[in-house]
Parts: sequence; structure tokens; C-alpha cells
Amino acid sequence: VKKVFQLALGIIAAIGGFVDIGELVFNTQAGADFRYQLLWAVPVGVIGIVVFAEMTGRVATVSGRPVFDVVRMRMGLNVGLVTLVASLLINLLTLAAEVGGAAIVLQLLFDVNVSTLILLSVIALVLIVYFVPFGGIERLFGYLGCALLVYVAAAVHLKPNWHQVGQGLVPSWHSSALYAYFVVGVVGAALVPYEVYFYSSGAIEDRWSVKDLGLNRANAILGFALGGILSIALIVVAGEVFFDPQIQPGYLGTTALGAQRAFGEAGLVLALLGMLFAVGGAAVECAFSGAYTLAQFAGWEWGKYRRPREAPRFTLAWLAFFVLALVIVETGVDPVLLTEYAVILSVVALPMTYLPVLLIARDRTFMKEHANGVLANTLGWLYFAIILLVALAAIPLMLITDGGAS
Amino acid sequence: LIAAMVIAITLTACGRASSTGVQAGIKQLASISAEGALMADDVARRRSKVTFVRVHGAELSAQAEHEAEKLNDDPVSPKLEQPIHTAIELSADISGAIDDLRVSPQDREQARESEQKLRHWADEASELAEGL
Repeated sequence: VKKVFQLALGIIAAIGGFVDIGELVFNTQAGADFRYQLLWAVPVGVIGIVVFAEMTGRVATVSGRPVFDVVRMRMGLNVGLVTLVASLLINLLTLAAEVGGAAIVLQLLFDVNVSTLILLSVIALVLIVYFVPFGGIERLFGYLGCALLVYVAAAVHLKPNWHQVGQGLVPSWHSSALYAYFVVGVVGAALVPYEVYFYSSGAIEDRWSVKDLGLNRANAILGFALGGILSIALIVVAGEVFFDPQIQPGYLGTTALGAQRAFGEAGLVLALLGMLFAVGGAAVECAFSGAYTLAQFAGWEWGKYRRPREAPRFTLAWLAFFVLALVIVETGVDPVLLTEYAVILSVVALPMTYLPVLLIARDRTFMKEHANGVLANTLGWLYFAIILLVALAAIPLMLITDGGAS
Repeated sequence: LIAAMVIAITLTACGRASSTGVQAGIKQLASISAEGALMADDVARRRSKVTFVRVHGAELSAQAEHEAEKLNDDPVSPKLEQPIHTAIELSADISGAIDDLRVSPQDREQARESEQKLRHWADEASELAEGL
């Protein structure tokens, strides 16, 4: 019973924790521009994150080594250093975008000066991270982020053409660069590296042992898959509300408007609360991921399960990330634009993150009987090929489409 | 990665001077107007929240003004001058209607009027963009 309860908790936390500002922005824009035609890109991204999250969770559980430890061990110091710098930069951009997103959502709820709300958001997040234990943080943001399920209800309520929705789930291709850009964006938003850094380090924070490998698999498959349903719901709602009037969403407020069209003020408030906790949770994940990667690369003591004085440099690192993100967002940069850059640039860094994971997870001398089976290897290499393709296409597509604007 | 980011931000931040760029700007105005109309419809049916109307309305209104500024500032060929002039006038109307909504989000009658106007201007902007 305890295992089932633990699994349920993990799944619920994953549903709320999967969607971040990148998902909110790219999925809404994808639905508004192409109605259901990009739905298939969601399962492509979700299967990818399931495959690699399961592998990183398994490697962390079996070896006690989280992803970044593995990257350095397998790829050497120089490649590890390049990956570290790239991931820290992307983490910081994403964190700034999430913090800015949280402030915007608070502003939509309370109409207070956004600069004040950015500062308050960062203070609140720092206090939560400092005082609440790791499991509590996962549950707080995961459960409250589930308010985003209002989009699933809205998708049903708006009575879409289910036949067309089904057709949208079948991969199709268009000769438009904008379509390709959103394929990269939707797939990339699901595969952002900070999720696996956090997931694998979280496995160690939660003290998973080999006995928990089933829990790891179930969490990765069910949690991310159900999170993917939220992404599909966002696309369907955007397709129903914004496609016909040719609205080009550029604000989180537009995403919230979709829920309001379905359920009025109650839908709006639920959507905003869900967004607040989803982007808040993602901000915590980003700050931790940055601190995890830095500490794991440098060989510092790390972990939320340790008291701050037992892992002082780790604690200082996540605090520094929040402060740097605060400085970036307070410059007035648009968090939605920042998100788009962060997602597209993280796509470029994906191969450096996922190749070492794949190599170590299939290594029988290291993983012994827990090494990848045929299915995990096949999916792993298939997804590595997809990741390479989207990584190569990401920057040219961003330039050609003017960042998805044309 | 840093170089790619700098190039990307620099190039995407460049102004538009082609007819495609002008068309994109006018389509953006149509989008803002259509979104304003949806918001006004919800206000008219008491299905929204005052803070949301004020904050999101301010974003949309500011964006309409920004699009007008871009259309005004970008150098274009003489044949595009008339549609740009019309688009700039439309943007002022759109921005004004959204501002009215923001000022008194409890006024359902005014919201209904704004909704109809914004819907009409969205169509007008779309037609203008398609005609280029």
C-alpha cells in the first residue's frame, strides 16, 4: 500500500511538475498557429523524456551517480566542462524565464507592479527551498500545479472535432519553416535538460535503491505521459479558441484566456494558480539543477537532504542562481521571449547531455544486470538521432522564422 | 552556444522593411484586436476578473502601440505607405478600445460595444494584410 501511495504521489507530482513556462508558451502558440496538426510532436517529446529520465533515474539508483557525474566520467573533463557551461547558461536563462513567468501570473491575479512581484517571487521561492524538505517541495508544487488540469477539462468542454484531434496525433509534415520551428519547440520543451538533471539528482535525494527501479520506471512513464496529456490539452484549447480568429499568442495571459473562454472566471483563476505553481516548481528545479551540476562537476558536497552548513557551496550555488535570475528579469526582458530562446538553445545542448547517459546506461560493465535492454537501447539511439536532428535545425529555424513570429 | 545566442537575438531583433514584414506587423494588429474582442466578450458576460482585464489589456494595448511604432519607423517602398497609414490608424483605434475596457471592466454595455468594434477591426486588419 505504501508503494502504491508513493507511486501515486510521484505521478501526481510529475503531472504538475512536467509543465513549465516553455510548455505553456510553445504549446499554446503551436495550437493557435496550426490547430491540431502539431499534436503528434507532444508524444514524440514525451516518449523521449520518458526514455532518458528512466535511464538517468536507473543510473543514479544503481551507481549512486547523478547525470552530471556520469557526463564528466564518461566524456572527460574538457567535454564535461563545455557541457557544464552550456547547461549552466541555459539553466540560468530558463530560471529567469520561470521567475519572470511567476511574477506575470501574480500580476494577472493581483495587478501589482511586476518589478515588486519579481522580487517577492524570488524571496518566496528562496524561503520555500531553504525551509521545506525535498519531498515537500516536490509535492507542494506538483499537487498545486495540478490546477492546470483545468485545461484537460477545457479541452473536453470546448467540444473539439475528435476525429481531427486523432488525425493531429499522426505525424505529418508541412513545407513551412514555421511548422518545423514549432516541431522543434514542442519536442525541445519536453526534453529540456534541467528535467533530467533534477530527476536523477532527485533519485539520490529520495534515497532510491535498486528495489526502487520499478518505482523509477513507473514514475517516468506515467508521470511524464500524464504530463504530456496536459500539453495536448493546451494545444487543443489553443486550437479551439485562438486558431479561427488567427490570434498569435505572445503572453501568458493569452494562455490563461483559453481556460477563461471555457469556464469563465473560475477557469481563469484555476489556470493562473496552476501556472503559478508549475512555473514556480520549474524555477526551483532549474535552481537546483544548476547547483547540482556545478557541485557534481566540482566534487562538492551536495543535496537538499544535507543541512546548508553540511553542503555550504551547494546552498550558495542555488542561492546565487536565484539572485542572478532576479537581476536578469529585473532588467525588463520579456520572460516569454526569454523562454523561447532558452528552449531553442537547450535543444542545441541536448546531445551533450543525453549521449553520455545513453552510453553509461547501456554499459554492462558499469550497470551490470541493470544495463539497457534491447528496447531501451533501440529507443535511446532512435531518440539520440532525433535529438541530433532537432539540435542542428533549431538555430537556423529560429532565424528563418524570426523566432516563430513569421 | 553563446555566439549562436548573440547572433540569434541580434538578427531577430532587427527591424522589418519588406512587404512581408509589414504584412506580419498588420497581422499582429489583427491578432491583438481579435484577442481584445474575446476578452471584451468575457467582460460583457461577467466571465472575467478585473485584475486580469487590466493587466492583460495593458499588455495588448502596449503591443498595438509598439506595432504601430514599428510600422511607422521602418523604411518601406512608396506603394506600402497607404496601407501602413491605415494600419497605424487601426492600431490607435484598437489600443483605445482595449484601454476603455481596462478603465472600466465592470461596464458590460461598453464591453459589448468594444467587442463588436474590435472584432470588426480585426477583420479589417486581416483584409489589409491579405491585400499586400
